[in-house]
Amino acid sequence: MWLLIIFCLLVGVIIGFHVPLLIPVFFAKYLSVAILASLDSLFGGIRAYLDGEFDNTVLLTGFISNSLLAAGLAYIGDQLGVALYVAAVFAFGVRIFQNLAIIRRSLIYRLGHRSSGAMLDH
Amino acid sequence: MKKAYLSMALVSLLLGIMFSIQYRSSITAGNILSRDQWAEMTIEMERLHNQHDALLNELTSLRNKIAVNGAEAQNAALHELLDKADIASGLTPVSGSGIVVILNDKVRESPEDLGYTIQYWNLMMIINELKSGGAEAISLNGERLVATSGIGESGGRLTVNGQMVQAPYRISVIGPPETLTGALRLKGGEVEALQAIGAEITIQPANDLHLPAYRESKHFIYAKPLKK
Repeated sequence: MWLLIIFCLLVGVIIGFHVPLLIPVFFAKYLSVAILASLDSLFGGIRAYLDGEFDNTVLLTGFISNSLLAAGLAYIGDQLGVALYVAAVFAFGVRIFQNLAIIRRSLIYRLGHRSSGAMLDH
Repeated sequence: MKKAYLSMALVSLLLGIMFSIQYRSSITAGNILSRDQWAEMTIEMERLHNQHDALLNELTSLRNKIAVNGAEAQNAALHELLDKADIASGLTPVSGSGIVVILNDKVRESPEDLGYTIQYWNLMMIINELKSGGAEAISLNGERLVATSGIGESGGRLTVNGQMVQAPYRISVIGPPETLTGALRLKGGEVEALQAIGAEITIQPANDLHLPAYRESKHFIYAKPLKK
């Protein structure tokens, strides 16, 4: 799982550096929201994996719907002259940190469990 | 098992791609303006475009004017030029607002007191200060100062335009009164120095000064105008 994520990230970075495609400044806002959405999905997926309730469909649909809603908010905000995309950034940010906290606890719990188990073996 | 995490792989792949593309974009767009600056620049550009158009219109209308009544316009321009030249040369009397500066020698009050007699260079310094203070026309004791005027001394008397003048010296200046007064009252200026010695100097603003014309009609023998 971890190796898969890191490997795919690296592959993505390599592809991104070799694709002759640049994002105009105008779309930087949309891309930032999309990056946040995928980060959110990634952390959500890891959390679900650690909780043992990982589901491909949930993750993919969540990713797509979140991205669409965030991009839509950014677009509407642009039309209205209000920075609505901040709402998406805020929501994703909060969720990323929450998920990170849960992942951290889960990992600590596991490691602690394992090491105490090892001590029991002795 | 691997297949189960296909979505994770996809999302992280996408994340990597977006990361690197955004990184490259922001690196190459380092000196590109932000959105707000861009909007400002657009407004500024439009304003300048409008200004440019307005100026072009003015230019064409002025060109048309010249073309339509060329002789008339030329006449008016010549008159304007002549008026300017008249004022500058001092060949016509002029009137206007300005200041009057009156300078007087320091009288001897006691046998030990040497007193002070105003010298021609004192007047030249003051007139120079007035010129840099925006003076448009100057006369000294009724002698109009022009480009060829000289202030000198002969036989212990001061001369202006070759005419003898004597104290009190009355300098009438047409120009901006505040600026002229300020130019004279500058720290370290000639007025301060003369007042320190004891010469009497008064500076008054005047609303309606009349300056005489330059008396001699000068014949220019050596100087010829260059063709423009």
